[in-house]
Amino acid sequence: MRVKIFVLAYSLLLSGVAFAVPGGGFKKVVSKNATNTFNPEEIKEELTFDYIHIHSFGGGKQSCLYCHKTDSPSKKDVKRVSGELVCYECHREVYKRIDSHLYHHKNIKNCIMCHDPHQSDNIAKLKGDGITACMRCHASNKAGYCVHPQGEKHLDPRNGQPVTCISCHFTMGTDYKYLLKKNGESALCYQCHSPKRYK
Amino acid sequence: MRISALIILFSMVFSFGAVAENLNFRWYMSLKKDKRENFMRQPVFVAFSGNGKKAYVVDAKGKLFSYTTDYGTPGAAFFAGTVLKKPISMARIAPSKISVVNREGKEIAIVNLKTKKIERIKLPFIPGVFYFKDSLFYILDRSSGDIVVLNAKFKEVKRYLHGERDGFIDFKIKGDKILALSPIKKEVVLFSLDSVKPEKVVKLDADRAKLLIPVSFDVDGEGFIFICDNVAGNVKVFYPEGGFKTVIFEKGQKKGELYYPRYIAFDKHDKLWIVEEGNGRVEVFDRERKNEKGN
Repeated sequence: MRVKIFVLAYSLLLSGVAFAVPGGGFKKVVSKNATNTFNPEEIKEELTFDYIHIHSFGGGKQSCLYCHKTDSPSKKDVKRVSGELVCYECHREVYKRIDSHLYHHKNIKNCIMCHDPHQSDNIAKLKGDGITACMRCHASNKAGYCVHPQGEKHLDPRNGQPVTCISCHFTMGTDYKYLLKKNGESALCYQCHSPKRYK
Repeated sequence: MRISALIILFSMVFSFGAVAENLNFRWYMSLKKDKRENFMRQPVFVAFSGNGKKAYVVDAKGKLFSYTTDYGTPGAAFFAGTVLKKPISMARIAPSKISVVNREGKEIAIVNLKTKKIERIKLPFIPGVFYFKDSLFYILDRSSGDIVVLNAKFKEVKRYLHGERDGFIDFKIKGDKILALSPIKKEVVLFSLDSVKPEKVVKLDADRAKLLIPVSFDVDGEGFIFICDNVAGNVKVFYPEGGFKTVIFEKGQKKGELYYPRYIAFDKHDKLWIVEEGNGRVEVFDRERKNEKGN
């Protein structure tokens, strides 16, 4: 009996680790393959700045000191401004907009939870594409349960791009429940599922 | 006689004013596929041919698309995987030569389309957008934030400095002037091509405009400054002296809406081209004319 309890407690602890928001270091998130987006893989990345999007600089190597306190930058020496991450210093308007909405993602002001502050190949410098960025956390908890077809084989009729989580949700702040972009009772679905959609 | 002349003069001045402030844009066309019906994935840049008849769209996933600027008819596409490695900007530097800036490897690749010969030049900095004018390469150095000018042998001949702290994120060459955008200070800096000293700095009224993440800009014939706001999914228009004028377009995925727009540019016909990374397309907008049917 004791062994069973121990095994149960241990497995719960481990699953707790899986639920936690990945925080350590900067990692690129990729799907193992195009059809298995629910099991993303995190690859530790090196700072090469060979990516489509890189953070703006302005002082060459000295630019690190905009956000880090020391010459040997690490995640432990990131500056804080007015109690927020250093991002606040230049992106105040983004913070203001977040506050102006009814709903937003949990821990929304911990920007580096979803965005890579250095380099990324994804829009908005997300750590993964529109699916894997969310699946890092939501693949293993109930909030990520989704029945809508997604991925490369399901194209959004509005723009011809693959349907992803961010086709319907916007984590940075909306006025609709579940971080939906529009009213989930009709307006949101009608964007694609109405015969009038092209009008 | 004098009164009628005055009326004509007044109406002319008035009508000029109406044209000058015509910021009513209407959707003109969407470009999202090549002629084999393959979709763009992550367009980030658009360039125009010298005569303004062709547009070249750079897809950072490794493809260059070409279209006619009048009806958006797709032309040849270029997608040699060995040449294009996260391309972020390009220019046609000769009738049979294109030049592409690859972010991966931090290089310029010069492709001779006739001979298929490829020349690669490693750059000592992180390259951004670039333009080709009078045999010179004007490249944005994303590590220092300055605009670097390289000659035909790729030696640095000039550098337009951004000043303190935040570097430029985009620039445009208009005639003999260079205009550059500082995203954090929210300024547009004007240089003359032959001098690296700033001629004028236009401070944008960013607080009133609620400018979130400015990533690109252009200036129209009347001097209005159009700033592409990436996160807000719209374009903010400022007076030539920096005062906030209005916001055009809305965030979204439908036709005419913008989702993470990355780059904007006016073509020779005064159409506004908006490269939308989020929607994987290029939206082209035309100005509404007063004398058109239905207006």
